[in-house]
Amino acid sequence: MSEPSRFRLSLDLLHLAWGNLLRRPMRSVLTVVGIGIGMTAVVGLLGLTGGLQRVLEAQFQRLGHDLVLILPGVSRGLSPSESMEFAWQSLRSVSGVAQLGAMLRQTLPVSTENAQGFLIVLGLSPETMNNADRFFARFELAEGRLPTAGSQEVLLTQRAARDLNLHVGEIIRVSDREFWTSGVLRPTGDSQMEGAIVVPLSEMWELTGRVNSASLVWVQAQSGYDVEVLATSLEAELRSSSMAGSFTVQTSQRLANIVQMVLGVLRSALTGIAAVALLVGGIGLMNTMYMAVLERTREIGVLVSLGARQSQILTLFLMEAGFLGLLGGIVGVLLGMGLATTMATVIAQAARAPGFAPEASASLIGLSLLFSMGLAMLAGALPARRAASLRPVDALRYE
Amino acid sequence: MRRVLRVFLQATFWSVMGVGFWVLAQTGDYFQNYPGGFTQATYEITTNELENPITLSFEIEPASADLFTVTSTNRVTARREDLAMGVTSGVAQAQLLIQDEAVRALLENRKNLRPQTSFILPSGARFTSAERETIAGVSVLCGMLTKPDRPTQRIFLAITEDPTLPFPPWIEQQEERSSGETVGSFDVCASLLPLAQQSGRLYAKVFELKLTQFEHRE
Repeated sequence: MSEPSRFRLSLDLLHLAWGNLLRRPMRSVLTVVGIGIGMTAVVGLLGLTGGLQRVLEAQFQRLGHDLVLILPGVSRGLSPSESMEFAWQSLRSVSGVAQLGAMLRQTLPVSTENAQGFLIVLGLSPETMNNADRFFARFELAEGRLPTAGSQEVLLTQRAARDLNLHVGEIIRVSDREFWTSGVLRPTGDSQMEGAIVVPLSEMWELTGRVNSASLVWVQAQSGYDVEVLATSLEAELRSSSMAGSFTVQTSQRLANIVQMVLGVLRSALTGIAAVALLVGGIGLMNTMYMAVLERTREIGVLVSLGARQSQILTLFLMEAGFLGLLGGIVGVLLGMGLATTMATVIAQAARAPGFAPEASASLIGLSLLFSMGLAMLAGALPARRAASLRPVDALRYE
Repeated sequence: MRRVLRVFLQATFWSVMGVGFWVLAQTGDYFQNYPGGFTQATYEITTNELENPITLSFEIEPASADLFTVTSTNRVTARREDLAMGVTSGVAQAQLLIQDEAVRALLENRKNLRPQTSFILPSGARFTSAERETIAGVSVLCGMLTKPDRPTQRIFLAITEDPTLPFPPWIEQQEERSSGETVGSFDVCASLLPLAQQSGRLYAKVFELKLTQFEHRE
């Protein structure tokens, strides 16, 4: 057989397969819905976890993998009211330390001529202020400049400036001490940060009376120095001081690994749920194809009598299953993206994380469609094989 | 099948108990500044989830130099299907409310609060105070908390400077309703009534925690 006629035959088979699906439109639609529900779960859940992974990876990328983080308490992490006292010089002298910074976070009374209240005040060391883009999603000045140590200056987040109706150069009282507003930040997009007031750490120590205290201490390793070795040295240094048991040492790499592990577990659990939905859809498709083979047994007999080969009958039924899978995949991709976008919007609002969006890459969509089609053809393989193996005499006799 | 069901129910029960104990353990933070002496207090907790109010009582007795004996009970009459909620629900909800950043900011700065004043809080929340009143013999400042991210909700609070209590003497959480029930009776913190009626909207109580009995002696 020459190439053009083979191409023509394929087109005829495609046409025939599509026509067969339209002969039982309701059954085809229900089968597509079955596959579509499974694919909605797959695309929706993969889109959500992909989006979550992208956001977290971006955060860790920003933080870098060369940091050791020291937190107060044994396992509670960064708590607004928890802090710890440090012997700064002894930490600085540990081998492998490139630079060291800290922040202290506490709610303090604030007042202006027009407003008063209790806002989160963040005391940042000069090193933290200079590396702020590593610790906060957005730390960009909208106007003014950063406060300098010993100058009685504060930096306001956009929300704090709005709530207090305060502008650069105006005075704010924090814990009964007057400060000048040196600058205002652009919206940070960080719920922990937005609404806060930033002061130099030395001022914060004076305001709170907690000299040498911090809610978080970070240590950057020297280039090429093993961060885990540095973490062990710092922990040993801290334990030799009077701080034993009241701190937790973490590396940014360890935190990234924990997050990856949790994401992996989450992805596995969600994949399991989606697999069940897909299995149900696949069984529904297999049932549809078996029914189609039974109903069209005489037709298969006629096709074989007219010279159709087994492989062509097999291809015909596989094409039908593939069409159903592809349509189910398209439905699943559309609904799944819609579901993921809606859920991401709800999560972003609830968690106050405006940057959170589902993953919607061309590869995810393409692979989902291919997977759906492949699964459908797999589910349709047995019925198609049964159709292809029918003897023409038996098929023509079938009532 | 029965065995699987039994294992599942047992796992659920122990999970709920675990969460309950964890939640109860968290309230320990509020006794960090406990001044010592004997304390006995009873709270009544009303939630949407249970028909009857929960009575939460605790007693702190000095045992020796820096040791105390704590006895606490959580009493509620509930349907069989609500038993798990009876164990944890009230305390957990109260805990969630006071863990909120705006409420924490208020509690951490309670010594700086004044009557008839509006205070800005983290995340754009606002606390408007009414008058000082007395609940179960404890002096409190009554006020209303509103948050921009929860526009249909408002929380009434009675805040005390007394460090011997794990929760504020009164918390009432209300949700806006289009029809039906109207605002609570304000049998405590009556000075809040004008403030509560100011918006002209309808609200229904979804949670209330109220100190009904309190005693402290050195």
